[in-house]
Amino acid sequence: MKTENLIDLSYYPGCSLKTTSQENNASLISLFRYLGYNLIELEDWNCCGSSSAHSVDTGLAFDLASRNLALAPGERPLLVACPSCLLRLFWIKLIF
Amino acid sequence: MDYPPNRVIRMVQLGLRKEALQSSGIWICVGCNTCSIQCPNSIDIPAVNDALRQMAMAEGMVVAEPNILNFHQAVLQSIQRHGRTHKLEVMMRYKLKKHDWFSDMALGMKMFAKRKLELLPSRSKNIAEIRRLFEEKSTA
Repeated sequence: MKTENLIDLSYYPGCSLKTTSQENNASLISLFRYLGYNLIELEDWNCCGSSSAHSVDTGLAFDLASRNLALAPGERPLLVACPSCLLRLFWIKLIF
Repeated sequence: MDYPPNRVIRMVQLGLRKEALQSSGIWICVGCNTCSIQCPNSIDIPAVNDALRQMAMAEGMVVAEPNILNFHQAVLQSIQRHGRTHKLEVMMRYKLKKHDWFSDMALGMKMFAKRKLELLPSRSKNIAEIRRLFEEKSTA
């Protein structure tokens, strides 16, 4: 396993990877370390809004998802592992 | 589901407002985007469903799937409290509203045994900031 010259990536786990699928999260972090990347969890991230926010309140879905993008440091890429979170965060990018 | 996505779209085209807004199809959609990826006309069907659901609520239409709306509200309440979803809490709130405690008990116990249900939530630190996002909204 590589421990030197790792490339830093910001990382948004999302609620599921952080709690109910911790084992998935641990595998992902190990895999990326093996591939030469260091995943740095986004500081103080919140839920992307999930299916529920965009289902009943588009404005709230926008606010919840965009807060996470606003927290991401500009100098490195942001990795999102959950397909549903990715969709929500990518939607913000599409709007701008 | 009474109407699949293509029929909901057709009802919108034909101006069948009430039928579209009161259909269960718009609530069953979980936004997986499988249909929109295959749509020959590149229609963002989940976004259409989002808009139809919100129109249905704004116009006080009969919600065809009240339990699904309850679920969404339980999720949003959890986000409002912790900044993140706490699945055990979402489940409890949903069951409380539905008055149905025992239907998924076996599955729940199995999940708990596999440590798939956390007792304590993962929380955002700046919870005041999260709550401000909710205060400006009406549905939460």
